[in-house]
Parts: sequence; structure tokens; C-alpha cells
Amino acid sequence: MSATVKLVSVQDAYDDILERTLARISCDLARLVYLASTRDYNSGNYHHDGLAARFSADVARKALEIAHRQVFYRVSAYSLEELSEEVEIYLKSSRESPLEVLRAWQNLEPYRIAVPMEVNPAVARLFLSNIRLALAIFRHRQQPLPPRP
Amino acid sequence: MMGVSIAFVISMLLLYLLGVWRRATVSARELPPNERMLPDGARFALESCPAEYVSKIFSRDDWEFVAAMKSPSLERFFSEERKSLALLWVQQTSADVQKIMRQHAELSRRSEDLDFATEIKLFSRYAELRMICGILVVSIELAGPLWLRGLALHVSKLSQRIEQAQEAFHAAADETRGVRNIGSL
Repeated sequence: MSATVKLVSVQDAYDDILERTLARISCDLARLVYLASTRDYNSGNYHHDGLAARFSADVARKALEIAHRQVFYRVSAYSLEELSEEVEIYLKSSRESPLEVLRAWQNLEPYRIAVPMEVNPAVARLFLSNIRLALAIFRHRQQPLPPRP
Repeated sequence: MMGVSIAFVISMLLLYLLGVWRRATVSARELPPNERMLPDGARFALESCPAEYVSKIFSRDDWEFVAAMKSPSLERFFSEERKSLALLWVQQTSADVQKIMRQHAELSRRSEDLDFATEIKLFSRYAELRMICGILVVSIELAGPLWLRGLALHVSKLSQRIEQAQEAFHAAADETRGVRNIGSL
């Protein structure tokens, strides 16, 4: 009985995070970065004060973990063209200049922390590789076209 | 004289292929696969790569998108990324199936009711998979992964079948053990 109750609660918490928070974020890549940011770097556990207050810390943790994995697998399945659009939306929606964010993303590779724990290594590598390529494509598109003769 | 020349050409070709194989194996080893950071045995907590993603690694669609941008440096970057990714996937799949077969051999040694037909079928699938993985590694190194989607999907299907067969074998072994335990009560 308690397991059923817990499953229902996780589903409710998952729906809650989807409706209240994720729906307001502009693109899947930003959703992924947001969900990864709710994970503690040291323990790998997810925290969300509002969600934990409405449900419980344990249920909130599980719901965030599921949401993170789902968004990660969705973004990893994007074609390079779709992901390039996502990267463009993400970079342009930042408060910083898109080129500044691009430089930081290419040098520091902060998107590496967006990979959930215990996902298939080849899928994780596909995601990282596609992000690197999408960033290179964005940089290429920012370069001015050579003057026509 | 002609025979000697042919033998020389064949041996040179074999040496070249051996070199390509070696290079591919080394470059795949240099990649940072996540599972090396995990303790032994924890690997099976991870999921195998779904066919949808295998198809993406070997797909030409992304290549066509990059090629339309007419940037040689982007094209080169894309080719390098996809090649190392494809090699990682082949090595990972091959290693995973090797582990499954080792586990299976361990279980089989303790099993009293082995079905030889099933064992032979499983082993022939394993041998086929290892052979295709070898071909894939050399082909990826020589021509890149974009022509090999069909073969890669075949490997993915084969590895899933081996995994399922092993799971079924495991379940059956557990059941037999359970029945014996009940009988001894």
C-alpha cells in the first residue's frame, strides 16, 4: 500500500514540476540545465525546496531524477539541426552576451554536468559530442560572410 | 614470380588491416568511457544503448546538415566526433556481450540441465557478433561510420538477443534453484 502511495506521489510531484516549472522554460536544453542544477555536486541527490514542501524530500528527489533522465534522453535523440536550434535559443536567452556564453561553454564545457548518473555511456557521449558540434555550428553562423566580389 | 607478388600484396594488405585494427582499438581505449570509473560489476546497473541512438550515431542525416554549411573545418570536426563515438559504441557493445557470455559460462558450469541446441545457438550468435564488431572497427577506421548503419543495427539487435537469452537462462536457473530449495524443506 505504502509503495503505491509513494508511486502516486512521485507521479504527482513529477506532474507538478512539469507544469509549474519546466513548462515556463524556453527550450529543452534549458530545462535539462535547470534539472541538472537541482542535483547536488557531491552527493548526486536532487533537491527542490518548493517540491519537497508540497510532497516530501524523498518524493521530490525521485521526481526530479526521473524528469532529468527523460529530458536528457529527449535532447540526446534530437537531430543535430534541432539541437543547433536549441543551443541558439539557449545562448540568446541568457542575460549575458551569447558570444560570451558560447566562449565559456566551449572552454569550460559546463554542459558535462547535464548528464544524469547511470545513463548509457554511448548515449552520454552522443549528447556531449552533439553539443560540441552545435556550439561549433553556432560559432560558424556568427562569422560574417565574406564580401562578394 | 606472379605467385610471390600476389602473396606479397596479400601480406602487405593484411599488415595494413592489422595496423588499422590496432589504431582503432587504441583510439577507442583513449576515449573516456564512463564505465571505467565504476567499480567492477556496477556496469550492469547501466542500460544498454537503445537502437534509436545507435541509428543516430551511424545516420547520414546529421552529416547532410553539416555538409550543407560548406565548411571544411566543421565537416572534419563532425567526421572525427562521429568516428570516435562509433568506435566507442562498438567497443562498449563488444565488451558488454563478452561480460554476459562470461557470466553465462559461469552459470552453465553449475547447471545440470543444459540444452545443447540453445547453447550452440547462443555461441554462434556471440561469434557472429564478435566477427561483425571486428569488421565494424576496421570499416569505421577506414571509411567512417556513415555507411554502416545497417550493420550497426544488426549488431545492436544481436547483442539484445544475447542479453535476453542470458536473462531467460538466469531466470530459469533461479527457478530450478527455488524448486530444489522448496523440495529440501
